Amino acid sequence: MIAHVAYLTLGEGKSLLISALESVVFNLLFAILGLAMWYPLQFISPERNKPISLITNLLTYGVLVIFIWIVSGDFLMYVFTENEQVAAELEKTMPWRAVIGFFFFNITILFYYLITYYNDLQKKIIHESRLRETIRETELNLLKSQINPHFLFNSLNSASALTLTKPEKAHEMIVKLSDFLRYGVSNNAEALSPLYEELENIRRYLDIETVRFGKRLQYEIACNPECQEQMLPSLILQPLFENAVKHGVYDSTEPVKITLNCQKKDSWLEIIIQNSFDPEMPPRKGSGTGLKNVSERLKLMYGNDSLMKAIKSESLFTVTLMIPYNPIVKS
Amino acid sequence: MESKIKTIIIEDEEPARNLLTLFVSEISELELIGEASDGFSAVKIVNELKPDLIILDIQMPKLTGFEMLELCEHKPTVIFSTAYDQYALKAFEINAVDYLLKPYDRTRFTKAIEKVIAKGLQKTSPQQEESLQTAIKKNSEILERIAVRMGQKIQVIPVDDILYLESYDDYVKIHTSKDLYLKEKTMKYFETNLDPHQFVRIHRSYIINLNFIERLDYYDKDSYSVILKNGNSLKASTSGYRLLKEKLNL
Repeated sequence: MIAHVAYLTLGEGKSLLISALESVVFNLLFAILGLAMWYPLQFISPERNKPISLITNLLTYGVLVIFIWIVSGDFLMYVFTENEQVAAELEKTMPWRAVIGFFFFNITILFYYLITYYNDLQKKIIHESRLRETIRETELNLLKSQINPHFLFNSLNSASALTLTKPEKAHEMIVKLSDFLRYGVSNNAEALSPLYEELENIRRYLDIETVRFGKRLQYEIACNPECQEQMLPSLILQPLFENAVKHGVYDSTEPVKITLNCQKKDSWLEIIIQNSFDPEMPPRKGSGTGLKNVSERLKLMYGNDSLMKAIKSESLFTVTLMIPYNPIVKS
Repeated sequence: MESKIKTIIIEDEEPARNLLTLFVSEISELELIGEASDGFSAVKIVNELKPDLIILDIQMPKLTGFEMLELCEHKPTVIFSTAYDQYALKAFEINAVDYLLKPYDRTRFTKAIEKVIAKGLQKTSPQQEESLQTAIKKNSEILERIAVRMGQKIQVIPVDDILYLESYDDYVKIHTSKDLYLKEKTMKYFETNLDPHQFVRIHRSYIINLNFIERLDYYDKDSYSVILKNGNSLKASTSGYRLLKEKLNL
């Protein structure tokens, strides 16, 4: 502003008072206009406009701002000085002031874009770190559930019993257990697998548990052939079946049936898992992490938090998953 | 050895049961007199056959190993056999002779039986009974269900169904909306083991479930009665009322 005053006094030979007034009026006016530019610029931004329309919009807006600036500045100067000569002199410097205005306008735009960019960047960084954390957490939980020690030790105990009583069955069980564990460690939380592979692994798991629980555990897996190749998050079904065994079979002396049905519904793959349970027994208060993890993973991968539904009725527990058909997975 | 050790195997998984049967049959001092595959039938068979020794799983249908022991009138020597290591301490607190972690081999099993023989077959003392209660408490940090005996029947009550508990000599009356049950326990036991966010001891004789409170009525100077949703009215002591107010954020 001082430079501006100096220029006006020395360069254009105006009086000090007039120069100071002119400088204050025009600079303050632009400051106010500049502040008011914040909101329109949220809409005229590189993210919201194509390059050509961005340039046109900015030019139009710039002309408008500079026009308002000069006209209202001239008007204010006239009001303050009530001097025709001052107004006439201002008229002469119009083109020069338009150039200055254009310069100010550009600086303001750049400054605002920089702020917006910086804010977005911060938001992005926070969002990404949260995403990474959730992935890590899910992965950890997945790992924990894969090497569920009680499942492992009880299965090994059954296998050890069979080695003495039915060696052929023991052999079969150990191979199944190995295949099951290998499938678990070869997949991470972000990986996708075709449905038929997932179901194969679930069958392995249920076969192993059937050795332990005998007639108490019965299962039926029905899958429409057209769904076989559909991709879904690896091991997403595993915790649901573990829950079904834990809440159904553990507490029941009667046979408990676990079923899986899947079908294509519009642009979704619908998977329904059901297990019966003994209605006489007070429910176990599980930590609920199994269901929560599944829901979190689906939300993470498909950006939709209503893909899992769990309903408990009189003697049936039902979990429904909706997986987008041919999904575009968020990286 | 004049007579054999009468043994019962309590295990819900068939292969594990077969293995134990095999191990027991290989030791001449043991005589297998029965098997059970769930908590209810275990209580029944133990009370009926009065074994000297039981080999007991913890995770079973109907009742856990700990709950089952609590309901047995006959108290045999206990060897636990489980895949869960977190109950080991609790098992020893109730004087279990040994704690076998699945899977285990013949040598380990034989060692446990040798311990039983060396110790002689002791019956559970009242003091052990006390530690059994502590063990049950630690087994599940907060009591979620209570197993009671009604004649020959065993009932498992979820704590959420309890309206209130009332002291009754050496017993505690458990009031639910449907029924009334008796449990040989102290009020202190329930006060410490039930979820303190849900159950409040409002009086020497009463512990109430906060979820079933209808309203609080002024009784007389410094004393209130608590009206339950089923219409029951229970008197609250001064300190009990203060505690109740605190829990209800009044």
